[in-house]
Amino acid sequence: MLEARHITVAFSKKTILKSVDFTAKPGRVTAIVGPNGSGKTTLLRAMTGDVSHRGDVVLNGQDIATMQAWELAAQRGVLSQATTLAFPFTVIEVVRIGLHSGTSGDVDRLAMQALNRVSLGHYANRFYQELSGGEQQRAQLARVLAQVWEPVLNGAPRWLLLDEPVASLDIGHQLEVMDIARSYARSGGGVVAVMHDLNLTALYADAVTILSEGTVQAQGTPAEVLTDETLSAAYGCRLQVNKIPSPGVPFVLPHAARSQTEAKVAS
Amino acid sequence: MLAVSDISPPVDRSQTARAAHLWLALLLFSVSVACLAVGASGTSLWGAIGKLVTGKALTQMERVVLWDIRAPRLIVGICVGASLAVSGAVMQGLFRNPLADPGLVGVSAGAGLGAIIAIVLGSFMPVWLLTMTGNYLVPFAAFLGGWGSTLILYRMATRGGRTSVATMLLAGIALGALAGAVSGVLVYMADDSQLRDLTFWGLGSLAGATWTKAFVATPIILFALLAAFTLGRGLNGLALGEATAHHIGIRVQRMKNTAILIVAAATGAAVSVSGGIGFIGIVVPHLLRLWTGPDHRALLINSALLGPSLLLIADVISRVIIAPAELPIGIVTAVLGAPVFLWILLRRRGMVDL
Repeated sequence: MLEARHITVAFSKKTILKSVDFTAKPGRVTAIVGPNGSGKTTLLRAMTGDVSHRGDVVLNGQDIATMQAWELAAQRGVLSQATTLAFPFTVIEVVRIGLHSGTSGDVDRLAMQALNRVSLGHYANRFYQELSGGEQQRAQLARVLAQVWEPVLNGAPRWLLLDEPVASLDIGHQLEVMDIARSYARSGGGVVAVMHDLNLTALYADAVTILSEGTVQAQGTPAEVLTDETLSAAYGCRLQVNKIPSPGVPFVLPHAARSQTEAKVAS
Repeated sequence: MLAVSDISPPVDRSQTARAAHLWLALLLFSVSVACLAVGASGTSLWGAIGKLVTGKALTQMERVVLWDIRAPRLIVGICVGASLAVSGAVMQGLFRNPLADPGLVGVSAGAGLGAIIAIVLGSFMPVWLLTMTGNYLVPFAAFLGGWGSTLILYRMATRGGRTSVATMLLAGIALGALAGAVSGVLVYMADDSQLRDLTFWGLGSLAGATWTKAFVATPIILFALLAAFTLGRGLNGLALGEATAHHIGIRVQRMKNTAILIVAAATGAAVSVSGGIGFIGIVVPHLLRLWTGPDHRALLINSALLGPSLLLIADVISRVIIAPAELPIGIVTAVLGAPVFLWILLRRRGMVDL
């Protein structure tokens, strides 16, 4: 379990999150959605221990405030939105950075496996900076995968915390990355992903939390949460939710006309 | 954005980096032997080295030159070269910028100021204090100066437990200028013999190497080097940013504190025995990154091997080029290092585009 209890985050005078409760279970993909500035990324960063906050974050039964960096790293991998790289590392070297140096053969094999999983095996010895933005993001995902794949002693589920994992990817690789997330969850791991694309969320998430202005607006399965009213209220524009017939997956269409509140703000 | 298109895709460099340990150790050994043999003392000592190897007795003169002059110089040279190169590599990893260097953030300048204060104002000190400190006065003052400037720098650049690299670099420039200005004032107060010492501090030289200095500097530098070798994984993580370093299990703030202490100790000790020698700290890690890649686990060890080799080569050149006089080694490293540095800048402009 990954639980956040009464998380409040304030930067100087602005309150970003107001007493947010959030729970994610292993075996599932849990998505956090919401408009820009609603606090999605801040909630994720509070749960990774990167943002000082009030309230508790409990990872696999242990308060993360009491955990050392290496204990956290053994139980969760984090994919940030933007990662900069100093020095000309190659792609395979970047993937290896997250790993501990065991026998080098094991580390190399694990890193190559992770690169192949994101279809970048053929770029292993290219310079990271030569890759396109989307390829760099997939290389970073490979680094995080290698980290959570690396064998550890305790059997607790390990977590992937992904901040907009498909942000700069084409549609094919969006599906590939979400497939990776889902199969990781199906194999017993936990996945928490901050998402922008509501339709990908509907396709891949088992649970969805909608944030709006620093509070939780709705929590539940995609079918429960992704409704006309909730989404229109959260995003401040009129959205229409339909269902794909056979599996009953919701999909979201923007309404052509702007909502009245937004029109007022614009004028 | 990045001018890397002219770089051909390398093969996996981790093997090369490990093989480099051996090659660089061999290079250091050969250069060390040459360094003992070659010099300005009338004759070259290859014969004496041959006698050492075969176990024959040395002449009195050979023993004095080899044991009292060249051996301490060799040991100080190895220590200083290793500290300069490893300090440079650690600083660059810490600042995530291949141009960072202890010389750049005022650590060397602070150490130099400490030394100059001790040289110029030392004569005003109470006699009991002078007799107590003896030969250790100047090295100790340099060490304190380097350490002090690092601590001031750190206080200025750190807020809420996090270090801003930009503030640290800018504060380092200001500190360097301040140390330079104070040193300039002190130079006017110096007498002739002190002025000669000050020139030595400004340009750097291994000529003053004695067993005393070797015994003062070697333990500090060895300890700093061993501590630096534990930073490899942490500095690799830091290359991906502080947040990602934390995500892969690095205690970032503690690692940065350790790195700063290591740099202060190694640079302070190096400057105390040799003055300010430039370019080793920038050129050595650069060359190694081009050859074996930026993985700090290999880079730090290889820097500790290549740094001394380059410094000793520069030292041999400085001894023979205008023999029987000798050039300050800082001039030689600048003449050799500055063009290499500019060439790297031209070829790999993308690398410093951070």
